[in-house]
Amino acid sequence: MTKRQLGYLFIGAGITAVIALFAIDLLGAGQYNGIGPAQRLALLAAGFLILLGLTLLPLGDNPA
Amino acid sequence: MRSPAPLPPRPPASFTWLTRLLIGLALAAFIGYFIVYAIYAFNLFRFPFDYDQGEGFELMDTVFFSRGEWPYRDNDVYPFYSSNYPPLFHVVIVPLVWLFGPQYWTGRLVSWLGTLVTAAAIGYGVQREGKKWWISLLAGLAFLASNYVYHVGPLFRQHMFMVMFETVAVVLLAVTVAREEETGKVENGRFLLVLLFLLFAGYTKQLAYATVAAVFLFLFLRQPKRSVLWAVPFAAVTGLIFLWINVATSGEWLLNTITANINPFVPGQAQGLFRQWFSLHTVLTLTAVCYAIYQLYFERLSAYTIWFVVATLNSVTAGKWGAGESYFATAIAASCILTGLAFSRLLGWAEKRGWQWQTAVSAAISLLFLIQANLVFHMPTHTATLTAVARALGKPTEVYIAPQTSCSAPRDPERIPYVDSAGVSLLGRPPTAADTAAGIAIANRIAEGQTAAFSEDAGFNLYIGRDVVTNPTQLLNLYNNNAVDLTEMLTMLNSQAFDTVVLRAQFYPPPVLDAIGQNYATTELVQMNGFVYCIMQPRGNP
Repeated sequence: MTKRQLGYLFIGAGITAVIALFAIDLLGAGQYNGIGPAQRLALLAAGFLILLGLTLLPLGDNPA
Repeated sequence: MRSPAPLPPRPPASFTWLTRLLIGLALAAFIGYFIVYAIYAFNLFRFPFDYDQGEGFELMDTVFFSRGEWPYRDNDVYPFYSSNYPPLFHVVIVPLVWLFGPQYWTGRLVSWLGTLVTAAAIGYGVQREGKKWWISLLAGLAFLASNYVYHVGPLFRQHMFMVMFETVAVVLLAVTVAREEETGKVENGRFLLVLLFLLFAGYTKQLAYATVAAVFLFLFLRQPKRSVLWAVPFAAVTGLIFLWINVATSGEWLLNTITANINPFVPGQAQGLFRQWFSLHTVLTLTAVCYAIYQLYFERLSAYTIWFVVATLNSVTAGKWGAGESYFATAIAASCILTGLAFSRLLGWAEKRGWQWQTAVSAAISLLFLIQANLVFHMPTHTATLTAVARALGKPTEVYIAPQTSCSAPRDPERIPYVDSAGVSLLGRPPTAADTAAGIAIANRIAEGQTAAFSEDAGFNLYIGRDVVTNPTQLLNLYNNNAVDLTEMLTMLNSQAFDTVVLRAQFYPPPVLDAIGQNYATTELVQMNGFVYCIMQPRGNP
């Protein structure tokens, strides 16, 4: 696997996590109305993962 | 034009001695921690009762295996006992129980030896790549010097045995993949051994799933096809063993190891433990993080880096009710390896740049290890020598802690001859002769009656050869998950079928505590290991 592929993997995982975190609210499974404290932390982590993935894209075909 | 004078190949003697002195001080500090660890362990081996509440139940699990019985049992019927842990640690101890009987030292010794194997594996992993003997030695010893490893390493608990299998598996994986890449030859036999160690880790404690994930993630990055090809049979074997035990125990295995482990998450507990872990292991953690970032951007990610990241993320499970500091042990092991590798590479780089760099980097690494040694400071001060050492290091020589009690009036703080930078801790202080005498006093009180005690600690019943009745935290977990029927237990308590009840932390489900309160009265308070035990006997006539 290359650094670029790893970057895409991180971005994909981050986006999936964001969608899943909002889906929790849509399905009414959350403990709080709106975005709860745990969700906020998880969203932050997912955002960090996406950013991390973006920084790996320029590294191209170097092995991961 | 004159060319500059070539650098002398060797540093002046004063610099050599300065570097050696600093390296020697760092080694002395960590060897000192190892001696302290051994003192604590040997004191625990001699203590015949529960030091940590879960120990007696793990001994009981071993006793069941030694009789050829499963410890995954129906909690609804007498003796209302079941285990919530996988079997391997207890099975390993069975021969010792056959030889010496149900003794606490058996499991404590095995767990402690397991931590030594982990430290050796860390040292080997660092030495194989880094080739700097003193850094490899310090990396291994740094693991044993962690406050968390010190606290739980010599306990009759399976956690550190799991960490041993995890560490051996990851080191063997890294060595195997490196050899394969060097020689171009696939070594499936060695890889099979890695998976076997992972299987052992998982069947020692469920938490090993994170290391399993890390190993397959690493393999997916390096050899995606192979990772999938091996993941399928690995999952199949793991699942088949799970299914076999579940069938053999009529479903009690699933109920007691999975359902009973679904505990509420306490965010404050997780945050507090993460802060404490970082403040105690700052040098190890920051070095590991820097090396991980370096690998992410400038070279390939190693098995150790992926393991460190996954294990650190998984440490969030320390926030579960009933979990604790030991959940960081895997992350600490990984950080020790990464720190050792990072420092070895840094020193290798410096050596190529001349003695000035080599001296500066050696000195800096030694100083960083000394800073780490200072961060994890912990020392029992029950002997004059240890007190003198603590005083010479400018550390306190005692702390004052109030005994913990759930069933008596609060007691005044007492002098405890143990200091720990992790803060107030009931783990770490070697048990005393008074603690042993207190345990024997409780056991003797139970022996005055005819029945086994309804006790929160297993040790007292084990000491006098009576049934171990209940595993309170397990009952509470099952009760919280609506998975236990307390009818028979409550009937027995209401009819005062037990001559003695022993409470320590009142971990029983609320209806059980209600029944105890209505039918039993406290007759004696005994203090052991910093806890007040309430000895209760039937009120009036049944």
